Amino acid sequence: MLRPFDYFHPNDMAETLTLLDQEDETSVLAGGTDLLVKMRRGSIRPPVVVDIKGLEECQGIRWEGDRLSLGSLTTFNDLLRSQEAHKHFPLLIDAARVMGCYEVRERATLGGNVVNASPGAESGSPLAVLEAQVVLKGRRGERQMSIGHFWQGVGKTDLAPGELLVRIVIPRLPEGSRSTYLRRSRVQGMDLASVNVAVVVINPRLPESREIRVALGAVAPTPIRAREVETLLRGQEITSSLLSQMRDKIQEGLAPRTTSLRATPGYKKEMVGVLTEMALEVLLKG
Amino acid sequence: MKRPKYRSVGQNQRKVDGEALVTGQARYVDDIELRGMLYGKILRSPHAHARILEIDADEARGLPGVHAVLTHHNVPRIQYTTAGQGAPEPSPKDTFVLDEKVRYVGDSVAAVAAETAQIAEEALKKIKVRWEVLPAVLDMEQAMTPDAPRIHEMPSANEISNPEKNIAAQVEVTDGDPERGFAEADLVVENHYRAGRVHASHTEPHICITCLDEAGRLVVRTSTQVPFHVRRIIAPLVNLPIGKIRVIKPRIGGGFGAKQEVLLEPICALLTLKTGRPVRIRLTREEEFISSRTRHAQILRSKVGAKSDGTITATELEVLADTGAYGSHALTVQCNTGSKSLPLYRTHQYRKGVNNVHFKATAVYTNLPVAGAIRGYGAPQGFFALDSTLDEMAHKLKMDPIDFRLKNLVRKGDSPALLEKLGEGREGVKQILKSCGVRECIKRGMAEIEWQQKRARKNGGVVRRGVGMAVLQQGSGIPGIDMGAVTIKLNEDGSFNLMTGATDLGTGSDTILAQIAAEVLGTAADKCHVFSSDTDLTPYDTGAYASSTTYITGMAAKKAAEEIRRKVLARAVRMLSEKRGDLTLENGRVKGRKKSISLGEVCADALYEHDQEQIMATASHISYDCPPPFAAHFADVAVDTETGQVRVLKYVAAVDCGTAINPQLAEGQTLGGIHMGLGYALSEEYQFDDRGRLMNPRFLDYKILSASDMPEIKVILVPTFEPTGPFGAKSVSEIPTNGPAPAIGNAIFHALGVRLREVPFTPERVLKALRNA
Ligand SMILES: Cc1cc2nc3c(=O)[nH]c(=O)nc-3n(C[C@H](O)[C@H](O)[C@H](O)COP(=O)(O)OP(=O)(O)OC[C@H]3O[C@@H](n4cnc5c(N)ncnc54)[C@H](O)[C@@H]3O)c2cc1C
Repeated sequence: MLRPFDYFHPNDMAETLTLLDQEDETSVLAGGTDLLVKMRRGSIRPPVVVDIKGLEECQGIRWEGDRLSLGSLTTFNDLLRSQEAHKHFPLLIDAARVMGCYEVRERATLGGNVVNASPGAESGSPLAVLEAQVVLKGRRGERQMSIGHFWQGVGKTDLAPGELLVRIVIPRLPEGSRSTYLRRSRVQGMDLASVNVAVVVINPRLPESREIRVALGAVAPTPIRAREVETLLRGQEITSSLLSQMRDKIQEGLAPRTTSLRATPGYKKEMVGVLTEMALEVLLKG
Repeated sequence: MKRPKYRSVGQNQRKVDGEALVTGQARYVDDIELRGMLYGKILRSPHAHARILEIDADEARGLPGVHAVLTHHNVPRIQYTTAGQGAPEPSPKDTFVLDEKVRYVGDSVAAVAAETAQIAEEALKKIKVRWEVLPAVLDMEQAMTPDAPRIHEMPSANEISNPEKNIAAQVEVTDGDPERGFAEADLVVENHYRAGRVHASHTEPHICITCLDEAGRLVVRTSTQVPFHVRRIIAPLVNLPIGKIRVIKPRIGGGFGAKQEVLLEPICALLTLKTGRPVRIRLTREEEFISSRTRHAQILRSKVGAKSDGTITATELEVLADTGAYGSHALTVQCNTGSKSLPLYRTHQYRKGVNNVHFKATAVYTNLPVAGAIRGYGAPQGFFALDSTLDEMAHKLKMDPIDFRLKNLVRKGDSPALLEKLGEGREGVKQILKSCGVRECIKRGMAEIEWQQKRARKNGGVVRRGVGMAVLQQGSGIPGIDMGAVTIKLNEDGSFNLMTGATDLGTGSDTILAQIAAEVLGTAADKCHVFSSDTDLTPYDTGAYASSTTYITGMAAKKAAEEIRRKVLARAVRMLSEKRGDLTLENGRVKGRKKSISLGEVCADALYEHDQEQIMATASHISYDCPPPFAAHFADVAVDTETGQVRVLKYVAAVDCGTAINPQLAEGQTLGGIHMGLGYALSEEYQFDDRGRLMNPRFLDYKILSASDMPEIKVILVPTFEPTGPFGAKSVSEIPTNGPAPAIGNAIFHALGVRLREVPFTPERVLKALRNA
């Protein structure tokens, strides 16, 4: 049951940062699809809630030089409507398509998904594999960092008290790159990923200079890159023996938590390889 | 047979409550707000098994806004069952409103009524309990072992089958000579199957508002399938005569059997009696998962013997069922597991009047949530085990699974003896099949799914395809027990009121009753104002369960309407000066050879003109027949051998429900039942930790299928005429739930050559089965 709280809806960044700085236990409200669930469950009870939906700076999708900059308030449906995302980062579209349901996608924001820092979050492995950066703003100024450093554990980030995630920026991929996102879930509609993978292939047609990047979700406390697999696959002809090596290698060191209700650790470890192989099959075809 | 032409029956009449539902006007219990209403909340046990050594509610009582706190110290100590069945209920009386012992995580410990829900929640936290935690048994196979803790230590007269061994209920019946039958078989197939525990997933949670009326009578507004049973069962618990209790069922948002239970009404009423104030209790979704009722988990041993020509010689089912902490419906659900599945097939001695059948079921207590009635009522488990075994037998005999079933299925005129021996927790009633469209169902379903082509499909690669089928039946009401009554009265505008105790819980039964009455009265169904149900205002009905309303209450509606028709025609003879034999009822008018008058004019004549009377009638109906509807379900699946994912691409359900009074509603029932059955087969499952706590009491983690998971489904209604039903109708609502588990399991076998013997068929189980193959 919801506890009473003070609600602010500022339209101005300075005012927002002041509000966030004043109170210790202030919660930022974007789409609210994680926050309200937690507040109703009573797992957090913020006395103050600051709704940031009025902030210009957190909105819109635009190119900034060689980087696509997405406002933290970009919803998953915004992504699905974005020509730039379709054209340059189809894996984000794959992820947005399977996220929640239409109603949830209409409210849920990319920023909320990133700050919520769930290991299997839909934007997790795609942003990791795209080497996205986050732009953070607090009263003491602005900073940027790679998303891999931003996530620190289940539900844990480097966000300082009073700080806001303003934008997420993604470097442009070399021309001709391909990408996809695949997940396993118990049901297709309205389910969280039991496990997911995001794969980018740079220079898909030129095996010698081909680079394959792989990120995994829901197998570790944060989305992670499968660096050793990337090394294994770099510049190689993709043969069935290489793929079976890949399937072994990708499991090394993974220790998914045993308490997941969605899948056992054994299944998850096996599936990341299966999904990666499926992704490669799609991306390297034709 | 020449079928009579109907005007209202057989039409896709719009639901009589459809407009109110889609415009949000329908009033559910939660839409009712009474002045001075208090909010009730229940304190739930954190332990699977524990004794309350001390309970101190003083601080909670002292909290401003708290009006009452109930614990086992201040509620009457009366044993009862929450199972909303006819009297005497065939379920053990093993429950107290509040007890000094708790038997599962979520069991009721105390209840609070306060001015707001927040205060009530605060108060719950201030109730101090000193526990003696007892060892718990969480596994049905452990429950009967000598060192298992005893869960019920009731005094006498509790009707628990064997409390020392934690056996809530047991039943065993034999027909013919199964031993000989198995001995004479050329091949015997025997295996164990496991069926998991699932939730009914009704949209509206259990909710109840109680108050006292100006005469001091207790008024209970509740989301129930069984208002009359609620009234009778709570009477001793609240120490009031039945006549001083009024139970009102407003609009219901689904129940699927879980509301054939008296869950909240006793405690809510006791809070009202204690405070004199209206009290409302509504379960949260989490409480709904934990403390309402689930389907019984079962372990089934299924055995079939057959001659090499495919003639079945004997069948056997032995069931171990987990009833959880209390034995609500423990006996009758388990009876149904056998009595719905086994009589569908003959054995080779059939012609001598016997089947070689053995059925045994044992329902045991565990310290887990309580099982109860859920759509299908034991039959889904029975068909999963039996039909999978038949499919396996056909494979071993190298016969097409359909040919094998066709060779052994019952026929019209058969009288399966098991049904005489195995009834509603007691002996049954002799049955003779008077309508049977099962072969037509199979034929039409086969064509729609393209059985021959798909069985012959070449298979290989990562994703394998397969088709499977299952043959099903259910019942229509409980023979010799279920009674429904209907009152109809005519108005001056030619419309009529139809009052019934039957409870439309979303099934559309109000519409069905209107169509039946309208057919008899030669008028339109929308001229029928249905009111259901209120124990003060409507006649008795056993309630919405056992697929009974259309078949039983529908016949009561027909009889009542026929009585009205007689009265109307008698008056019309005088009014029109015509011969009775020349009169017909059509389009709301009585037509003679020369003249006609409207039903309204007849009513006005009765109210104001001549030999005044209210044209009305009440009729009751009971049936000793329980005609089974039949169905053949087909599933076309794709199984990914790397992920273990099973996808159902097409599903066909051909059903013989006699005359479909409203084809669209019959189809809707079938689709809904398939949805439940698909979830049961593929994804739904209670997950407990090692302390008996339910880990997924929310739809985020308990996965029912969403719209995007649903396959293409084709429903085929195969008409037959059931002479004992209204206009030839049988039931349709429960039977579809029985199909998906066996049909999909059989399709997976066809795809992989591997049989899955545990539902749900999760990807991990599929992979495991593949690896063990
Ligand atoms: C029914 C349902 C289905 C769902 N399905 C999925 C799914 O399939 N996949 C998936 O990944 N998730 C799913 N979710 C989770 C959720 O929708 C997503 O994580 C969503 O992206 C959160 O975004 P939001 O805008 O709603 O965040 P909010 O709930 O508003 O915020 C989430 C957290 O981030 C903080 N926050 C938000 N924005 C900022 C910011 N700009 N700066 C600093 N802090 C911020 C908030 O304070 C809060 O702690 C589902 C949720 C629901 C209710």
